[in-house]
Amino acid sequence: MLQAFIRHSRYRLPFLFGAMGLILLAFFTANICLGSAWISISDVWSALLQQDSVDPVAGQIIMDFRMPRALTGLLAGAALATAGLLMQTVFRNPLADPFVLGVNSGASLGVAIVLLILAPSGVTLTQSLGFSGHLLVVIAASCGAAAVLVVILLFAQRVDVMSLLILGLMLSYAVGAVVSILMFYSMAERIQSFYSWSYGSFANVTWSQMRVFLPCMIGGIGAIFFLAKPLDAMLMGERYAESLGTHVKPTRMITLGLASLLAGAVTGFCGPIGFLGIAAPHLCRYLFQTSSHHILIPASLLAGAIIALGADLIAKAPGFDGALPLNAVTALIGAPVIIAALMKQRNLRKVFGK
Amino acid sequence: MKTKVDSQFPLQANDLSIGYSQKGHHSRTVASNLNLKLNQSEFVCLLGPNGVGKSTLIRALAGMDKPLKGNVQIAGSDIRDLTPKERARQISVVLTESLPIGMFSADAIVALGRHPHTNWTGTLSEHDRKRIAEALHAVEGEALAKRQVSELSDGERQKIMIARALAQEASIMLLDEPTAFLDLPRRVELMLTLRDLTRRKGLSILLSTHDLDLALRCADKLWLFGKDNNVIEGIPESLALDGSIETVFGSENLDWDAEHGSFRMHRNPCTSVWIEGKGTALAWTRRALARIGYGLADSRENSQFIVTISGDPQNLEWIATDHDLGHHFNSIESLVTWMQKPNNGEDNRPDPHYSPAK
Repeated sequence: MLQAFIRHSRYRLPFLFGAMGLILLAFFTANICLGSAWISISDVWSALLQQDSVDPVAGQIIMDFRMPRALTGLLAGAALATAGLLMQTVFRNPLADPFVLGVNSGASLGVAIVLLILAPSGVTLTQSLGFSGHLLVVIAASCGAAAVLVVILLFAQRVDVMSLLILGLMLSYAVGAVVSILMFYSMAERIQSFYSWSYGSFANVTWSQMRVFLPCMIGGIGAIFFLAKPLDAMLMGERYAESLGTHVKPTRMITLGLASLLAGAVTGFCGPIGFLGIAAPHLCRYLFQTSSHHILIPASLLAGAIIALGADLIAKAPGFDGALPLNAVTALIGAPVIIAALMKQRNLRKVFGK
Repeated sequence: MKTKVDSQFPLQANDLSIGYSQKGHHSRTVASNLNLKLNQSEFVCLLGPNGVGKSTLIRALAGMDKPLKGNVQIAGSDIRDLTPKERARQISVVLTESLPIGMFSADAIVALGRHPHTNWTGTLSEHDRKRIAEALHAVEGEALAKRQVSELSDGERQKIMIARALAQEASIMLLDEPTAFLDLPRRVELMLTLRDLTRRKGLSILLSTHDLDLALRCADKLWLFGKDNNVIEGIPESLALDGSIETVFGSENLDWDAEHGSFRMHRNPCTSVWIEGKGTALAWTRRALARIGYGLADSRENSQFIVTISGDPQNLEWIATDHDLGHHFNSIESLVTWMQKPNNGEDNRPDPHYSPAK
C-alpha cells in the first residue's frame, strides 16, 4: 500500500523529500539529546538560545560536545554520500566510491607516517600529541589524500575511465602495502593509536576545527549542484556526453576533484568511514526510481546525513558507551541496505544498464 | 592546403585521413585522403564490409576523434574548432555503444537531447517539452515515454535513442548501424522514418548499415567503404551498374546479381538446369534449385536437366526431365528433395557431399 503510493503517486518526490527531512531532523535532535547523559529537548533549546535557566554542565555538554559531533556527522555523511554518487556516475560503476580511487589509503598513509614514525618515541599518542597532535593527524590525512588525488587527476586527463578505476585500485593496494610495512616495524602502542584513528569517529571535530571543516563541506557540496546536468549526460557514456555538448574532460576532472576534496576532508577529520559512499546513492536510486542527478544529489545528501547520524546513535548507544567503532556500524547498516536494494532490483544491470 | 570554404555543404570532409594513433606505436591508418560531402536533405547510407572502419569514419565526422590528417567542416567551419555545445547543435549521433546506464524513463533520455539548448541547470522550457514530444512522435514512441529504458526491447530503445538525437535539433544526424538489432519490418520502418525526416525537416542523415538491399532501395546516395581504404560516392543505381558494389562486397562465395540488385550465394554449380514455367512458381523454383546448388542454363539446348512447371497456381506440377526420363512432383518440396538426393540413378547431379546451408 505504502509502496504503491511511493511508486506511483505524483506526490512521490515531495513525500520522500519531506519524510527524509523529518527523519534527519529527528536523528539530529536525538544525537544531541541522547548520550551518556540524557538531556531534554527544552534544555537543549534553552542552551542554544543561551538562556540562564539551563544547567551550565548540560549547556557545556551540548555546545562543546554534542553540537559539533552531530553537525560533523551530518556534514560528513552528506559529503561521503554525494562523493560516492559522483564516483559511481563518472566511473559508470555501481561499486565505485571515493575510496576506490585510493583517497582513503592516501589519508591512511599520511596518518601512519605521523602516528607510527613522527610521534615521539616511548610515549603514547594521547599523552604526547594532545590537541595540536590531533590537528597534525588531520593535516597528514588531508595531505595524503591530496597526494593521491593529484596523481589521479594527472592521469585523468590522459587515460579513459576504466583505466583510471584500475589505477586507483592499484594505488590503493600499493599505498596499503606501505602502511603495512610501517606497521610491521612499529611498536604496539603506536599501532594501537593508528587503529583508533582507522575506526572512525565524529567526536574529534571541535569548534575551532569546524572553521576549516565547515567551509570545505559547504563549498564542496554546493559546487556539486552545478554538475547535475553534465553528470546526467555522463551516464550515457563519455562519447555521448560529448555529443550532447558536455565538456567531458573538465567535467571528469572537476567531479573527481570535488569527490576527493569531500572524501579527503572527511577522512582527515573523522577517519575512514566506509560504506556510506556506496550505500546512500543506491538507497536513493531505489527509493526515487531515477538516475537523474537533479534528484539524486539532494536525496543522497539527506540519505548520507541520516545514515551517518543513525550510525553514530548506535555507536554511542548506552550498552556500547561510545566504544563501538563507527566504521563497523556503517558497514553493518550499509551492507544490508545494498543487499536489500539489489534484491529488490533483482540485479545491478537494471540499475546500471549495460 | 587551405581552400576557400564551400559553405553549401552541411558536412564536408577534406583530405581526411582516419585511424588510430597511439603513443609510441605506429598509427594505423584506416582510410586516407577522403573527400566527402553531405548535402542538405540528403539520406546517405555508408556501406562496407566488417572491420573496414565505418564506425571510425562516423566518429571522425562527428568530431569525436581527431583525424590523422585533413579536416571535417560543418557549414564551413572546422569541427575541431567548435566547442562541444556548438557541435552538439549541429550534429547529433546515435552510436552502437548506445545504451545509457541508470534508471531513466524513455522521455528523460529524449530530454537529454535538449542539453545543448538548455541553461546550466538543464531546466526544460515549454519549447523544449514541445520538441521532446515532437521527437517522440516522429519515431512513434509516445507509448514508450513513461517506461524505464532498461525495460525496453532493443528496437524500442533504438527508437528512443533516435528520438533523443532528433530532440537535439541538429541539422546533421550520424547513425552507426542503427538497424543492427532490428527485425526486417522494424528495419524498413526505421529507414523510412529517417528518410522521411530528411524530406520533411531538411535533415542530412548519414547512417552505416550492413543492409545492402534496404540501402539500395532507400538511400539518396551510397558511400561505399571498400577494403582498399577508399570511399566511393554515388547514387545507388550508378554504383550497382558500374560494378562498384560488386567490387566492395563480392567474395568467392557471393555473386552480384546486377539484375536483382542483390547478392547470390555462389556455389560453383556443376549441373545446369533449364526451367520452364511462369510467375511466382518459376521464380521460387529457380531460387530453390540455385539454393541447392544447380546452375541455371542459358538455353534449353545447353542444359543437362529440364524442369517444367505446369498447371494452375492451386494445382502445380513439376516435371524434371533427364535423359528423356520424366519425374513428376506435385510440390516444390518433393522436387527439391528428389533433386537433392545423391546419385538417384543419375551421375550428373551436383556433388553429393554438398548439402545446402540452413
